[in-house]
Amino acid sequence: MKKEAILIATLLLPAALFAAQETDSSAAGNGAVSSSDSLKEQIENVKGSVDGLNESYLETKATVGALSKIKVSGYIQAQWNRGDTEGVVDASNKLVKDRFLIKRGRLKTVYDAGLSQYVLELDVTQDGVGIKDAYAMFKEPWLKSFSLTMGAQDRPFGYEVHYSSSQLESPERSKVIGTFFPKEKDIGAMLEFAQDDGPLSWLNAKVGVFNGQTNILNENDGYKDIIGRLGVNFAFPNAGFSISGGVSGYYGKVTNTDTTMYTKAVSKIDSSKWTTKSVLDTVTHAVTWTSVRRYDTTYAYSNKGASYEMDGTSYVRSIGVSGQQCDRQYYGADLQLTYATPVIGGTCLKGEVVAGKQPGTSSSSGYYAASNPSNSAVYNREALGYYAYFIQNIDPAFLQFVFKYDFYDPNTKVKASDFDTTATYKPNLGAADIAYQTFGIGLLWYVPWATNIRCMLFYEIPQNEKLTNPIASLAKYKKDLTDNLLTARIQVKF
Amino acid sequence: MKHLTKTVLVASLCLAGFVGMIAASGKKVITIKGSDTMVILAQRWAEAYMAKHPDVSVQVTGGGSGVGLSALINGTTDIADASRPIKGSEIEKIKTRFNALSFETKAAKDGITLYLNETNPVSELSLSQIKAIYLGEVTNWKDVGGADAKIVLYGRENSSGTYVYFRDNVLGGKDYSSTMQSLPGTAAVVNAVAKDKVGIGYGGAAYAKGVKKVKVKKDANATAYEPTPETIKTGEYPITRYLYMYTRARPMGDVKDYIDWTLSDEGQAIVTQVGYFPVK
Repeated sequence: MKKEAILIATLLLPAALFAAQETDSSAAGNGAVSSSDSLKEQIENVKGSVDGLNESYLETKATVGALSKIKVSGYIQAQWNRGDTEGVVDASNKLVKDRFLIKRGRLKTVYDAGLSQYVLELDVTQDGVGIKDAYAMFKEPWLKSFSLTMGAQDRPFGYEVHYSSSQLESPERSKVIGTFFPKEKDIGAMLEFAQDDGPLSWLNAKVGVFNGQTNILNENDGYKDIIGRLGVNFAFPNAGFSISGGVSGYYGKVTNTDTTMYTKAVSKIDSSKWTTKSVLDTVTHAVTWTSVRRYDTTYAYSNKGASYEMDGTSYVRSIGVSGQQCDRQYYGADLQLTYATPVIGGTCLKGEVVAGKQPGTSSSSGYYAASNPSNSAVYNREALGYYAYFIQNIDPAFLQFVFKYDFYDPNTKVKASDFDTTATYKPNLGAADIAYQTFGIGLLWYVPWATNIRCMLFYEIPQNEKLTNPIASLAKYKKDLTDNLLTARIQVKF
Repeated sequence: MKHLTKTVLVASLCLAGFVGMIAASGKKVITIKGSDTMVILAQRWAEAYMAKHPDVSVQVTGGGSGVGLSALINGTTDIADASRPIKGSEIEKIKTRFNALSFETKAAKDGITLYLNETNPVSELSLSQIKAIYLGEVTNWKDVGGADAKIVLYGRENSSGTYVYFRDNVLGGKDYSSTMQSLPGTAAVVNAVAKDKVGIGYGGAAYAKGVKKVKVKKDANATAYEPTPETIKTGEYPITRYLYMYTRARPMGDVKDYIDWTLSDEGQAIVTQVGYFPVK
């Protein structure tokens, strides 16, 4: 019986175990389904979160991407000037020996969207806040070589006009450039062809139409000035040599806004008035009286506006010319040579010559920009200016040695002897007709541990034309003025 | 007066000591900055060169070709590594500041490699397909012979020479799709693609570890090639470029010695070991 009971139990045990296992596995199966659902749910949740994060990332990326198109840069030039007695002037235009000043404090914001640019540059100095650049530019999308720029921008003339003040190797631009192109900038529209990389990257052409004023003056007449430059640039990097240059032209006019009344003597027969005249008969000696038209020897009347032209070595005045257009025409050529001199560092020789017709005033050879109406007559002069730089890098020392020669003759028709009061033509020449040459020597140091800092020490020796026997008001020009100038400048750029 | 003399004397001694310390350190330092693509190569070169020249210290940093060339313009590096040619505007900046024009040395060749996840069935792409993918015109793998899954784009930041080269030479100068995730180095791109089944990335051939290299063909009917020394040398692989070292002017002294060495058989052997291709 015992054996039978063991046998039955043995037969039933697997069945019981199987049944139990079935129950366990069934329970486990239900659990697995449930946990799989939960896992799926969790994955869905995580996926949702990741999608959310991804969306948020793309939004942030778009925002950051837009912000990265905004670039802010600028520089400050703080300097100390010490001049000879006639070298430095203070805010009230009085001569002082030395002064500190903020020469330039630039802040430039550029929004660069690749094919378009928005640029706004301000200049903050002790004189206040002024506008420099304010323009919009866009490029065509096909060749990416042509661009149109409109607004306040550099005039497309020559080399030094658009060479950044932060890179300029002398404290200021040359006299002819400063006189012909005050503020360097004007308001207008310019078309440019330039390839950064491409088969024509050696060529640059710009032409624009401008108000003919500056970037801070409103147009004062209905006429526009055309300015252009054609430049080439050939670089042979592995030979360490490059040559570049260009030719430029400026075709413009200024309007005579002089409303001063001038008088002029004329002869005239007044046909409406008669007078009597006695006639003596030489045979009979009888006197008869006859009526004749009165003849006035002089008759004066008024004329508005005057302009002066050179005739020989003296000015000749024309009156009654208010509103007349006067030519403002320049032409120029510039050349830059660079050679990476072994051992010491790079060498650069560059220069520019500009000549042309410049309408100015009696006291200034700067372009005629009198307000309308004014009491300034136009003085038409033919001017010439040129400059040359020699720059030698001394690379291991982060130094640049600079020598500059600058010449400017505001009136090429006259020389020093023409100012002589004993000259055949009594001149009405003034200080604005005197030529200058300036020698400059300087040292630039780029601070090795802070390469955004540049220190400049520059000494300028201007020499004016020496007049022999001038009129009293020009007596000081009998000798070279004591106007040498030392500039010590620190520039920080960011 | 006595006090002033003493002060001047102490200051002079300190200055002399400082100058002496600099002189005593005596080690010539060559700084190299730039291309992330070239970082591995530059580091291997530097290690090998310093082992042979214990008196020279070669300091290598990445950041991208644009960063290296900016440092060259600013005078803060001796050599700029770049995986793209220098731009005309960058030469102008060097000219303005240094009156020099930069000097180019072709140091190695590279085939820009398209990386895919190892599970991705796509094995070859034409240049036009790659362009369409990175411009965002093709967004699903099924359109280029793969599975029905969206394409996730990985690329480099805009300071990278590879970014610029790829944009200019593969995308025809057009902007990348805005959905591309910009990563700070080629290693990061490879890492992302290795983990992402639907990802695609690009970068130097030397980095292609743990990912699948796609064969590239010039057009739909051309033969597809993988970037190998042979296909790069023959120009059959369509996305071949040089890797450059730039100096401000013709190199001299220690810098010249170093660059000459990188072009020697020994230097070019390291190019091959790293996974790039020699220029000779």
